[in-house]
Amino acid sequence: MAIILQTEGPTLNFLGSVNRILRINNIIKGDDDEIINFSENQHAAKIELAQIVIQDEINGLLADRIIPYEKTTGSLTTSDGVRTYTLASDFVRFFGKKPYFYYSEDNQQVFEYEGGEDALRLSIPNYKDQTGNPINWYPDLTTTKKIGLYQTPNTEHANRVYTYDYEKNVSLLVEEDIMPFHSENEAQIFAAMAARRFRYMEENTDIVQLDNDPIWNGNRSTLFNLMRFSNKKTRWGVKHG
Amino acid sequence: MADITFEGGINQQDSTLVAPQECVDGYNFEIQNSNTHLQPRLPFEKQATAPIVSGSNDINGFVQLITASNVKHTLAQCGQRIYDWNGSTTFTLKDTLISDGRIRGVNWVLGDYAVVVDLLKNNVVKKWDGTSVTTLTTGLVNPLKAKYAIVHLSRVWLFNVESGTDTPHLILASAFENPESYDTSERAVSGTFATGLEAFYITVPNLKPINGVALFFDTLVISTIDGVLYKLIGSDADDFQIVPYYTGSAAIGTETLSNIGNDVVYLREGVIESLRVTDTSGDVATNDLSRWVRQIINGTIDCITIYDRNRQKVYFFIGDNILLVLFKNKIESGLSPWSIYKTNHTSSFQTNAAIYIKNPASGLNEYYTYFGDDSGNIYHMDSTSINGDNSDTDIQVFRRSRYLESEQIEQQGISGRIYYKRVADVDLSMQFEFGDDYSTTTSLIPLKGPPLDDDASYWGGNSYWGGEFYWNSGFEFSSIMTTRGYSPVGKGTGIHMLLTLNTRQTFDVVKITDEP
Repeated sequence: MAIILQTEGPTLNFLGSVNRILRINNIIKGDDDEIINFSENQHAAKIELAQIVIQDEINGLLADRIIPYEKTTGSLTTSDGVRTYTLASDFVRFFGKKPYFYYSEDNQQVFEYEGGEDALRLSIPNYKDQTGNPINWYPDLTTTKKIGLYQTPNTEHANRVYTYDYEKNVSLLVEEDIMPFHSENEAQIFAAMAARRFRYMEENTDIVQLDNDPIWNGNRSTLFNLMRFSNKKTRWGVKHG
Repeated sequence: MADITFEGGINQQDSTLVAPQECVDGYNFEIQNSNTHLQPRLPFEKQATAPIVSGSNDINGFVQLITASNVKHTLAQCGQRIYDWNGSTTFTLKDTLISDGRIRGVNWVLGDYAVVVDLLKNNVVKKWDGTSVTTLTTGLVNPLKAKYAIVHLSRVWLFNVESGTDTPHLILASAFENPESYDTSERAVSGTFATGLEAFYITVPNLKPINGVALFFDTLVISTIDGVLYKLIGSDADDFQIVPYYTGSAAIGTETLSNIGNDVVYLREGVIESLRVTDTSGDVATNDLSRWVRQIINGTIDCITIYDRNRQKVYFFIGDNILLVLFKNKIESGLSPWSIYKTNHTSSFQTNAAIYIKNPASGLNEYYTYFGDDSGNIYHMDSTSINGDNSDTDIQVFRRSRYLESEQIEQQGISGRIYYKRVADVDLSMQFEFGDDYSTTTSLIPLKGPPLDDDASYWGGNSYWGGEFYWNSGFEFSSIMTTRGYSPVGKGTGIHMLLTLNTRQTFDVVKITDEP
């Protein structure tokens, strides 16, 4: 038997998880083909429901901090006279307790101005007009996730690429989104867990009962065990003494 | 919601009277006995085109002579031209009518000829002996014209005749075993007859024009316009009488009255009546065969009624792309016995002539219903074509279920499975009209054909219906049921389920369930 070593995360994506849920619940069987996109109308209602249960379960795990947001790296490129910059679209928050922007060419870190823009405007009233090498950043509180640089880059400091580490949104939106787990096993047992929620919602069963459902709880425990960074102690039989 | 099967036809009565197996609207499906599946009607096929000339090229009539030695000679009338048609591409001109007409005929096997009448009564009665079309010898001074003819009690009976004077209420009976001898002066019973075997005439008592005749077992039934149904009693010229048979109604139109084997049906205002039931029960609701399809019949004033004996179907060619089909075996089932055939082909089932005859082509003995169009084309129903109507037109099959209510649909929506047999690749469109929120959603279900590596025969392959192999037989998985699911978006107090298949292929949907 060949052993395949998995080197990177799961291949199961949002679409595959929906298919898995539909198959576990006997929605896909017989001559049914697996769905290839969420706009198919043969199983439209079930496809919608399967997406909802996956998102609900993911949200629950996120809220419980069972799965973290994914750490990733973004970048921004400075422009002459441009003070504020938009962060990555999947940005949730910066990684780490002391986030910074990094300009690798000069091995320079740009840290947050303590107190943010509110403190900055008190200390340096003309902060918006001062140009030069950026030495601090601060949150730009608008409707989109942006930061401001102090100082505003001038010609000399334009076209610099600053990278930053951040926590990425792991919400599943489109078919191709990979499930936010480390292994195929985790993604598969997650689908089994979500499939159980699917059944409750499909059958209009009181969803409160899900907390007491042994299958759902079993799958959830399996998922947690699989996600442990250290091995769980195995035990065979009764421990004596 | 119970499983949905398809053994019932169209039922346009109040929804509480519609069974789940029926549909409130639909067309182009079959509902043969002992079959609960949804299957399409067979296509019609053009068999020939008569020579086209300037002027009318309407196919106006057919007459088929089958001699005592079982030789077929078929006449096809195109415009005013009467051709001897060999069932293939050969049309030999045999006669030209002097005026517009619609020829019809009866076989006089004893003399190996057919007596040909004109439904429009513009042309004289003719004789077709397989070689030539000639004016029938009648023994009368004046030319004889007649609308209807029938062979009964070893005589040819002509109805709604004209011989010098137009007498639409008059019936001429030929002499016994001699269709070339008629008499317009000797009246049955009151005339002077030496043997009783002589020719005679007789009138319908209400003196109204005769508009239909049919044999009902041994009884000759006659309809009069705005009148009643009469029957013939007696055995010879001395005692033949026309007496009331059913006074409650009579047929309308010109060719609506027809024998359908063990029954006679006819069209009256907005209703298709069954004489058999009328005969036993009087004019009660149960004699109204069309109660399931009253909205379709309503306003119809004429049609051509054709009985397909082999397939136990009755066709009512009522025009406007509606061919109403009565499945005779279904009449006693309690479910609607009605389907409608429609076509996307230009012929639109609009015809001046339709007939149930033996295939005119040499060596072929199967009976079909034939009809013509206004371009000289002759078609036959129930073709083995694998390419739709006229071998070039998709056939759209449609069924709209009754309103199906359930608490489940209201709370969870509807989902389930379609059970079918793999015959060909066909897309089934399921539309769901949800009550309460007035939304319609669609699930498109691709029904699969035989497996790719299946090299056996199936419809659409080398073999076909009626051949060595037939419908849904031959390939490895032909008898295995398979399923596909459906789950449209929507909730409501109930649904109308609309099924549509637009294809030249055939299919076999067994049932639809609401269980996943």
